Amino acid sequence: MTDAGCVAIEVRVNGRTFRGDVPARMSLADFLRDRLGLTGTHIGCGEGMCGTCNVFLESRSTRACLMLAVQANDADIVTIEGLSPPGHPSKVQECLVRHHALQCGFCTPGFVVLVEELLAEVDMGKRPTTNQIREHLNSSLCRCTGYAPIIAAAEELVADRIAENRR
Amino acid sequence: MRPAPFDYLAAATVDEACTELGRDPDGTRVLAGGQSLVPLLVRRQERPRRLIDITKIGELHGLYATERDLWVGAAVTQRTAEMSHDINCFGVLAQALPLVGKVTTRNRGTICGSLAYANPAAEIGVCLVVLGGEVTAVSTRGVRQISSDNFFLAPRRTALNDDELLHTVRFNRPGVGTIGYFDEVTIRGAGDTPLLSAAVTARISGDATTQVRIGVGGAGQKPVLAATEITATLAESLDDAAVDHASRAFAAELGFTGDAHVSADHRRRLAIRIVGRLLRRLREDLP
Repeated sequence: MTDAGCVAIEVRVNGRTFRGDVPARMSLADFLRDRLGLTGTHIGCGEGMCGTCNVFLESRSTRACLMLAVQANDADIVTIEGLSPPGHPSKVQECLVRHHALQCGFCTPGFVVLVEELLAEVDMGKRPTTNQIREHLNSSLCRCTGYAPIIAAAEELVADRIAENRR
Repeated sequence: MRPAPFDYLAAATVDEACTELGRDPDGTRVLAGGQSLVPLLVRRQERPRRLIDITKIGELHGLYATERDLWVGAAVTQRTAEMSHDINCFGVLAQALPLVGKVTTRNRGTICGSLAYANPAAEIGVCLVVLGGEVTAVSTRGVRQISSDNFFLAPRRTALNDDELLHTVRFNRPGVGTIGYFDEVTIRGAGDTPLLSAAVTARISGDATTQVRIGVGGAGQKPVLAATEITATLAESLDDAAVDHASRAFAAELGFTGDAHVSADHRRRLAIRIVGRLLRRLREDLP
């Protein structure tokens, strides 16, 4: 530990390694946004309720606001920026747009992470039911479009992925 | 940055964590998944001088089932346990885990962290008192076992001392022929903090039930088991009158409080309904 409560950390974000000293009290969300400029990770409530700051930590969705940057030392993180190249929406993003599953878009990065996690589970052999898809997505809040289009998009993506994996 | 400043230490061994915890027990908090602690830090309801991260300690990641019980180390996440085949035989726990928080908080939050935080409505605490078991606490003063009956002292208060680390929790394996059901009530569906959590277990032998256990927890009321005088009557009969009598007698003893969501009386009436519903579900399993 260095002076003023700062801790040296090394994290891999979207495949790149970053080193730096961070204050112990800095959240991973603040670290991603303020230090790395990855502002696609949004901060809504900042206390774990809303899910707009969901990122992948070791391939599992994680609230970046409920995790300290120092806890991410030596970990692999993927943010919304790492899920598709700039200007080229991923399949998940394209499907959400087609279903009108976003209006202001503030919660969308968090939902994209959740849907990608769901699809990764499908790849591992899970066959989520409609109810399980809804339970998975209840991790995030959306305040404008309503959840029906988001769930419809997720159901379509899951069905497509299951069909793809059969081929 | 919203929390007040603190120092951070990632302990490498249990000994190191205990030594550091013993140095300033009052100003130090143990950090595992952080899903209960960090919201308190962010709201500055807690202002510890130092956090000790225990998730890098290998021995705390143990999760295994034996013929008699299930052992869960302090760093095991709720999601890891939920996905493990080991918990399938621990009926109420297997039913409760998918209802804890949200998938994203279960990915980080730990079983032991939930117990240590002791939110009275939390699913895992109710499962612990109903299944029975014990908590292993370690400190520089040594190791001690705290039985599930003596672990919760009051809402958000446990028998752990400030200098003790919750090392492992052990759940008793339900005996052969034992079945159990878990249920909770939330306002906005799964993922919400429950208004109350409830679980029942019983052993089916022949066409009768024995060893009925009922546990409930909710705001103001730590997770508790129904007294044996109440459950004894259910061994003879699970008819509507007996179920009704038992759930009312149990709920009358519960000390719920009201909050911004519902009143204490509403919680008591919910307890009657939910316990009654769970007992009737047990009845359906009778031959």
